Amino acid sequence: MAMDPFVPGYGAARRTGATFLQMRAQLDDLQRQLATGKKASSFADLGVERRISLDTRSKLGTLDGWTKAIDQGDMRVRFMNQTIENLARSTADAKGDARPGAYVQSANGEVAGQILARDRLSAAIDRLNVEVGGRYLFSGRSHDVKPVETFDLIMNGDGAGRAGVKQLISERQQADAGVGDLGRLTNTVAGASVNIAREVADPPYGYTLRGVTSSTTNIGASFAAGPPASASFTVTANPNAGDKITLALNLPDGTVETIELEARATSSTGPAETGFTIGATPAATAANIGASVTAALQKETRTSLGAASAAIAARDFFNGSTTNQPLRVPGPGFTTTTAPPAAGLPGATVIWYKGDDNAAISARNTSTLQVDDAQVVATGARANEQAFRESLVGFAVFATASFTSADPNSRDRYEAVTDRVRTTLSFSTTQKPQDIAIEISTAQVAMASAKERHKITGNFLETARAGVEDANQEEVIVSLQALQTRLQASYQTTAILSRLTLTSYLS
Amino acid sequence: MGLGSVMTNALSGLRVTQSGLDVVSQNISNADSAGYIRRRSNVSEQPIGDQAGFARVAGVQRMLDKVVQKQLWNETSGSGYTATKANMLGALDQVYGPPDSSSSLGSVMSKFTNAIQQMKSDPANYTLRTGVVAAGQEMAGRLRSLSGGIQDLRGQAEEAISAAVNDVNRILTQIQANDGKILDANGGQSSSPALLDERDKLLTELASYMDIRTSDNGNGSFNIFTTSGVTLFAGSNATKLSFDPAASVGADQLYNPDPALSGVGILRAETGFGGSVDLLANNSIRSGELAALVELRDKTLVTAQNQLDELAANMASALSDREVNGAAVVAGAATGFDVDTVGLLAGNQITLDYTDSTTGQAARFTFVKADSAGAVTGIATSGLSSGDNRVIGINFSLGMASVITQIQAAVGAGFTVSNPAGTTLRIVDDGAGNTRDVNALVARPTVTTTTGPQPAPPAAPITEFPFFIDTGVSGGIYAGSFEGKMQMRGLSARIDVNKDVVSNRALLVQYSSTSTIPQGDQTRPVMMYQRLTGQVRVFSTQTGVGGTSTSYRASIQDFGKRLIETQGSTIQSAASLNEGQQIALKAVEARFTEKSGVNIDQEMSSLVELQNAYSANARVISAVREMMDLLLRL
Repeated sequence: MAMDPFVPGYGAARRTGATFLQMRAQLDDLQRQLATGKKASSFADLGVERRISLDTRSKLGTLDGWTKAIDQGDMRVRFMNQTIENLARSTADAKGDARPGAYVQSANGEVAGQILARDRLSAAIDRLNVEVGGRYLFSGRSHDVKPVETFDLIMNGDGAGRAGVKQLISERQQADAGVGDLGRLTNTVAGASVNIAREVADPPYGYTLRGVTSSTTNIGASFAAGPPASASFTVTANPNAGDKITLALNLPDGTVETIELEARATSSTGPAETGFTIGATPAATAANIGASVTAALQKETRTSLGAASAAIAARDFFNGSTTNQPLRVPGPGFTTTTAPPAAGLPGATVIWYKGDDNAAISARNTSTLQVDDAQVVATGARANEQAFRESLVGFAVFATASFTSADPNSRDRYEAVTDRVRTTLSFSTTQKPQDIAIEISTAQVAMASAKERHKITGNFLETARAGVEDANQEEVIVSLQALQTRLQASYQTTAILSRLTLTSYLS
Repeated sequence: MGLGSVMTNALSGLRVTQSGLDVVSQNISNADSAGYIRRRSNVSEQPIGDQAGFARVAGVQRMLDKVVQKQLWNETSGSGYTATKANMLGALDQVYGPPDSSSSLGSVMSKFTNAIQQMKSDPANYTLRTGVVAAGQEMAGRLRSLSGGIQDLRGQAEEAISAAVNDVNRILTQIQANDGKILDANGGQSSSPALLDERDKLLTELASYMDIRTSDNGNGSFNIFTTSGVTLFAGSNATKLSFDPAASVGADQLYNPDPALSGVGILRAETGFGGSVDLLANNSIRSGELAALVELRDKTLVTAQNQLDELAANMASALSDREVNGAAVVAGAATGFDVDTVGLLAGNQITLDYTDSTTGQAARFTFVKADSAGAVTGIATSGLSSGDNRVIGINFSLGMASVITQIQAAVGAGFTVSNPAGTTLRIVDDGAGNTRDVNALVARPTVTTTTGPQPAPPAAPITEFPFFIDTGVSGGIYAGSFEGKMQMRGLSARIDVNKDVVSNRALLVQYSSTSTIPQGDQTRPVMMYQRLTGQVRVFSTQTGVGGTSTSYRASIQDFGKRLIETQGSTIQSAASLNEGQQIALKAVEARFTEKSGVNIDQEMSSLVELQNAYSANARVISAVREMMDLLLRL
């Protein structure tokens, strides 16, 4: 770019011209400031304060990013909290429904409480499948995977190889009941002795013998820990009516049952499972005791052992995941199987939870949210967390039980089942849904306070940025007016001076 | 004494006034001619014997102050320099964009990191993944357009140099012709003011291109030199300048004194004996438009390009380079680290952080993997090295034994370098000597695939991936190689988002080729965010950000901000320098005008004066005539 050639004769005029140009440029700049509201149109024009502009803008951008993430996270967390709250209420209600002594016969074998439990299970599945903006909230890191299978598939399997929870319960019940519903015990009478023992193979199913007692010296009670454990009642002389013998049993779910049999006089009658008739000879009495033990064991098997089996099987089912096949009773031939439950083959059982299941990452840490420079809150959740699993187990055990009016054991089974449902849904030894809710709420509170903080910091930074970048309108207008006055005065003076030349006065 | 001599005097008075009028009319008519110096007719008395004589015109004097004229040339050169620089950098300012624009570099960087921050909290979200890819593409696009803008300006500078050289040659030719006329006209004795005006005008014009000084040979001829001493015009011979402009200018076309290696034009002065002098190599032009153009082309704009390249290279490397931390080893009293050099690509770095225990100063050695001797030289001349971060090329093609020798030679005493096994590099300090403490030894191999096999837990997964690629190389991997040429140079003009990631956004999450990573896995997004905003990286001093001897250590985000700030400040200082220079020029011009400019008022009063003198002389003649008549009538 070539420079204007210098004309010495025009030096003064050139200076004046340059001044005018400069003032004009200032005028244009002020006009621009007025129109755009900005002091400068480039970082160069901002001067040394450009650092403040850059830093505040960058910080404001970061705050904006955090706030946006918080807003999105907040919506998800709200949904999660609501879901968990609903689920917690649902479990409390189910527990209330399963109160003892509330058995009312119904024609189709279903009591009101269990119908509700089925609905609750179904609702819980829907809740755990909650989706916000295309993201499943209870799926761990697999946001795109609907975490829980459908109610029907979970209950009944797919009918083509994959077993549902009902089948698992049934298999376990068979395995625990064993042949003849004796709960994997044998009961033989030899002379005046009644021998009760675990099956020879000592399978990990059915009852565990804990001990025997007798209230009379006429009947000797002995117990051998084994294995296999065994116990015997030896009738040395006929007992008196009212004498009692007991047989203490452990159920597979850890509950304890005691069978108490009362000696009855020949004349009196009563159900075999609660007592035995004193026979003519000790051997006859022993035979009666044997029959009574069998009846008592069978009743126990059809009530509490069945409920215990259901709870175990349901828990096994819901413990399963894609990386961890649920435990299955080896079979068929469940009543005689002796092998312990083992992880089933892939494809043999419905995997109810399909989400992310990496044990190395805690459920909460499957989704973290950076809310501040160093503050990261954990907001993830998985449908197969213990509290959710236990809830589903409670619902499922209740829902799958059958209490037909034709079955004389229905009332006792109802008590046994509801007892397990109550225990499960009271979460006394396990994680509670509320525990998860508390953790999520903590994150929510942290997010809210971070957002508040960002708002305050943002306002402050915005003020700082505006102070550097934004033009003060009043100041600009005043400058504009002053400049206008100066420019007008200069124009006028120049005009007057230009006429003031000797040439004009020579004639 | 008689009437005759009175008549002669009066006539001489008429002649003198006529001549004066002639000068006045010249002044008035040339008031607005470029380079016209006000003239004055000098009248002196011509004595006849010891008697008073008649008036005669002793000569026409140019009202010129040579000192002020020299100052004028000086300031003209200066303002040619500052104006050119301010003008070109003003254009660069536009390239960087206004502070509140959503497309300015700062905003685009902010957008990119924010997009990653958003995706980090919801990685499976397709919209957010798309946001990251789009913001990455915008970032790469912005870098490319900025780089394009800078190279356009360099190209403009190249063209402007070419045009300026042509103009300078024209001026020198004209000066030569003019000088010939001056010598012819007056045999070098007294020059015609018009020719001198013409010569001075040409010199002022020349001064706007380069800084000059002149020396008069006394016989009317004179010499012109640059202030550095290169002869531009000697006696009556004009030096010819030559410049071979490059057809197009790109980031890796840099000036080199060796014409075979130079990517841009070389400015030469032909000495007249078939030889020539490289005016750039010797820094012979120090002011004026030419100096500004050369400085812009070879320094200012190259630095601006370096900054962008450094930013681009760091963004690419931050996301693709692993950090393999050395395992601590103890050898007697000496402590240090073992690091495996396997998997390093040419250009990848191994950094050794240590403390000089005698001064307490922390410093770093950066060993760059080279596969050829040429690359080692390239690294040595790259300008990446600084006092606290010495960057040294290590030729790995000669085997581990040689690598150990090379590194040992580079680090010197105080360290012991060895190769305990395989490709492992061990560096320990001097233990009991306690002059050096090794703090860290890190290998930084570039991950070349978007998904790869993963180490068995609990080893940290490899989540780095080439998010940004170099479209200028096959495969697109940016490793910072020096094989053939420096890969970083001009990277900002070639950077783009990996096509694989654009077509498969799941790759923003999926990092394993051996197992399926859940769609909501945050590992890779967290790595991306941390690398761009949290990781402290070392930026070379050639970017001009930070100091000239200490490398700038900051996150990429911070470097981006400082880069814009540095450019803003460079541009602003060029503008304010120019403002100051224009004021200085105006001041000198004012002084020059005062002495040498035509003032119409002054000329008018001279005119009145001359008119009066003329009529007085005419009156004398008329009086003589009357007296003669009176005599004749007797």
